[in-house]
Amino acid sequence: MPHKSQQFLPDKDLLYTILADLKRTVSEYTTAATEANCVAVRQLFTDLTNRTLTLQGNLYYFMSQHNMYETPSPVQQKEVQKQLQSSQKMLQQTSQLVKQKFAHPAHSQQHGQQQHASQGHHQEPIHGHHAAYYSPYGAHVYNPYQVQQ
Amino acid sequence: MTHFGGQMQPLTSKELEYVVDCLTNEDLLLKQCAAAASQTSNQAVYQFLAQEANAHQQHYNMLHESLQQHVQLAPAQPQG
Repeated sequence: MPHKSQQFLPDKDLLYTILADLKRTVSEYTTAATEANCVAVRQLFTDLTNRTLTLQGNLYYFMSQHNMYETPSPVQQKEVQKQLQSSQKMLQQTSQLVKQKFAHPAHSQQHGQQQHASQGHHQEPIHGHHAAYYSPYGAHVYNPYQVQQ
Repeated sequence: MTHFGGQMQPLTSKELEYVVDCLTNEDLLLKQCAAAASQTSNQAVYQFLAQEANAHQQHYNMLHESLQQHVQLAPAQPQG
């Protein structure tokens, strides 16, 4: 290992360039996973996303432990409180809207109408028995359209 | 590679481009780790970089193996 004075760049800069490239690589693996057609290729890119994310986290932790990365100062509690209240308000408004939209009678089973896509209606799989459906990426996947019963 | 091995399909042009780009990324990261390790006088940094270089070598191998597995699946003639 060369003496410090002979170094091309300080350790901090050398590690930072790697950190930046890891960040870019994680992003590229994620995009590749979302655009994969073959299940095996998607799984490979997903695994490599996770592994690279871990490497990036480890390097960041190493740099911060060795005073090579300045962590920004923490925000004040009142700022977090403000955003918390704002988030709560947004959640309430959106919950109302979601409830209204999903309460459309054409899609309600409470009226005893078993309606399916074959009847000419476009139907999102919002009900319990449609909550999970087959996917090659996992036997059953989370369905974001599911309304909590 | 996965338990859906039977569903392995030929690579699309997009997938091939991503695999090739990612091979280049891993190759570059491996070289960066080696270059940085050769420069540092800090033993902890050197050890860290040696581990990281090993990980990038593994990633490179995973991508390379995936290409190998897909060679036989690829059509010999252009598909309509």
